[in-house]
Amino acid sequence: MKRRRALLSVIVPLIWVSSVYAQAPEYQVKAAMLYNFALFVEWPPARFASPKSPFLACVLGTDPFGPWLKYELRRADIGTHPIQIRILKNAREARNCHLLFISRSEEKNLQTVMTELQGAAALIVSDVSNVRGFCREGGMIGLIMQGGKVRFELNGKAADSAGLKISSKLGRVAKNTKCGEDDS
Amino acid sequence: MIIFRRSSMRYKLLGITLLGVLVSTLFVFIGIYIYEIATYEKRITQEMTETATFVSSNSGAALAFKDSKTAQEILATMRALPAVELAALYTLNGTVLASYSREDQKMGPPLARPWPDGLRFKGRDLELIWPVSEKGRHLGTLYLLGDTATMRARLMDYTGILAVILFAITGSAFFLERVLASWISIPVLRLSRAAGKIASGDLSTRVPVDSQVGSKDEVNQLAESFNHMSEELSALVNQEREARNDAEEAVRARDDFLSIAAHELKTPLTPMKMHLHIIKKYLKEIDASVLRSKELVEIIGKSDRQLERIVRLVDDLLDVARITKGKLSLNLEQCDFGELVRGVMEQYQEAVKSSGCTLTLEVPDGIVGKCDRLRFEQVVVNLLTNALKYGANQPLAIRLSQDAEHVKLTVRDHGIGISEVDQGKIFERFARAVPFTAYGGLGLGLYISRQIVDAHHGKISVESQSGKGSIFTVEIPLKPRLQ
Repeated sequence: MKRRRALLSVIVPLIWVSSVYAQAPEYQVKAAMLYNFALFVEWPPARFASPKSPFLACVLGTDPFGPWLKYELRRADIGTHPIQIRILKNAREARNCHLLFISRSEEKNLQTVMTELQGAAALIVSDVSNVRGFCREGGMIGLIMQGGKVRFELNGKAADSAGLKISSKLGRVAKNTKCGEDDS
Repeated sequence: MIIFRRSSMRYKLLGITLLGVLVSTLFVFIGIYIYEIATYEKRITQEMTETATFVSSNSGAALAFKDSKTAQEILATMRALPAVELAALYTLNGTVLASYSREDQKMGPPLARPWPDGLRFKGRDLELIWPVSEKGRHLGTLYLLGDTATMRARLMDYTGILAVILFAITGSAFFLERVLASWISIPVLRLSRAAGKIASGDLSTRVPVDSQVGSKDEVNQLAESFNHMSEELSALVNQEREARNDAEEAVRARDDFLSIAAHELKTPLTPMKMHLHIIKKYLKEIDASVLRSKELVEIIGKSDRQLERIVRLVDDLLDVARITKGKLSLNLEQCDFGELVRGVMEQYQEAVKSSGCTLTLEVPDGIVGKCDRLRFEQVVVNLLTNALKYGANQPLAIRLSQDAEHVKLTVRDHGIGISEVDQGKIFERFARAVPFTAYGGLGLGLYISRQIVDAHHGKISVESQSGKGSIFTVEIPLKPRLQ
């Protein structure tokens, strides 16, 4: 019985997801993308106490994901590290996070937040409207909407200075890898 | 095989050349084919695995972010790999994110989940299903289909090359055969023709010898030996011919001399004999007391006998001359052989008496046949005078007999006899079984007798033992065949 339920719990969302993929809610897509970013980024080994220590995925500000972040990250590990989701109000708390999503709610005091996060080895992602500004402040991946699809821009320099290694494969699918460098 | 052995040398050479080259070429190509086929599976497996590893390690992000443009770009690199027929990237839910087809026609086949990962041969094609993952997270699937077309194309290329090479080899073998023929079979053929000419008598035939080739080439060596042989042969034959001409010339000269001498000797004898007869006749008419005619008659009688002897010798010489010139002809007529023999015996009564032989004569009447009377008498006289000469003072028997077809004359003496060695040659010209000093004569009597008997289609033979006498037998057909 238990097995059957487990099977159903996998199959039903799958069918649903695949059938409505084109019309998938924006934040489901973004949640899935957060996970995928983690797959193509290497953190400095010192950021993990042990191979089994958790991978902290944090959201700063008002959580826009609803159920989707939990859903997308539900069974997944990043390498050997189990994922833990944290919703934070304070930028200072976010320094320990491996992956940090800054909610649009923080756009007005973005500069303060980014100053607070200076030097943290965290992959900082946001979907604020001024993605270029976000990148200039040290944001690493900015999500944008383009033709009804979610795309992203990379700030390789910022990731480098934070000690993160972003796979060239990720660069290849990014719309831009020099986010915030040229204001053309 | 038999056809090959029966064909000419140049075609044998061609066959050997062709067979050798073709077989070795075929073996080389069979080796290449076997190697190609044997290594093909391994090669394509390795190639496809490497390709899959490369593609999957590069397509993770594209799959994760469902970036079909990037995925398409990655798959487009398959163009550099002609073995890849189809390639496709599937997202986790089984939709095709990107696909590649070498012919730009087919799409990847729809895959049903859960697909079996791995590599398997599907007929001539190799199918490879490869998971794409990142950090242990399954992101999608790569599908590759490699086919053996390139392999088959390569084998076809080899076959084409083989055909061209075989064609070229055959062509050059024919060319080679022409060269070889001029080196080997044509000189051999020339030799064979020259040998044929020599066999038919043209001893001046020579074969050309290539002085540039030298004597290491066996055929050239053979040609040299052949020329040497024909030179020796023609020298020998010329020598032989000259010797024979000389000998023939000598014989002719002797025969001519014999003939002339005999005629010249005979010419004065006939008048001399006549003169003696006339003298005898005159002496009978003269008184015996006058001129001591009785002694004269005796002297003249002796002279007459000596003259008679000379006449016989000269006649023998004339006969030999006739025989050697082939002019001995018979004058056949009806003969009573008994009468002929008795006539001779009567004529030689005196001689028999003076030899001291006791004569037994068995000559029946009525043996009649065809013969040359004078010639037959000559045979009888020869045999008789021989018997008297070599068997003096011994019994002498002469017998005449006949059977259905032959008349047979036997003359048996008890004289010195003839050794077995000499029996073979007493019928030859100038042959004598006894020393010239002991017995006179030219040694022609038996030779002439034999020629006469031969001319009658008869035969003459001797049975004898040294010291015990001889038996001469003459057999003549009663009706000689006409020539």
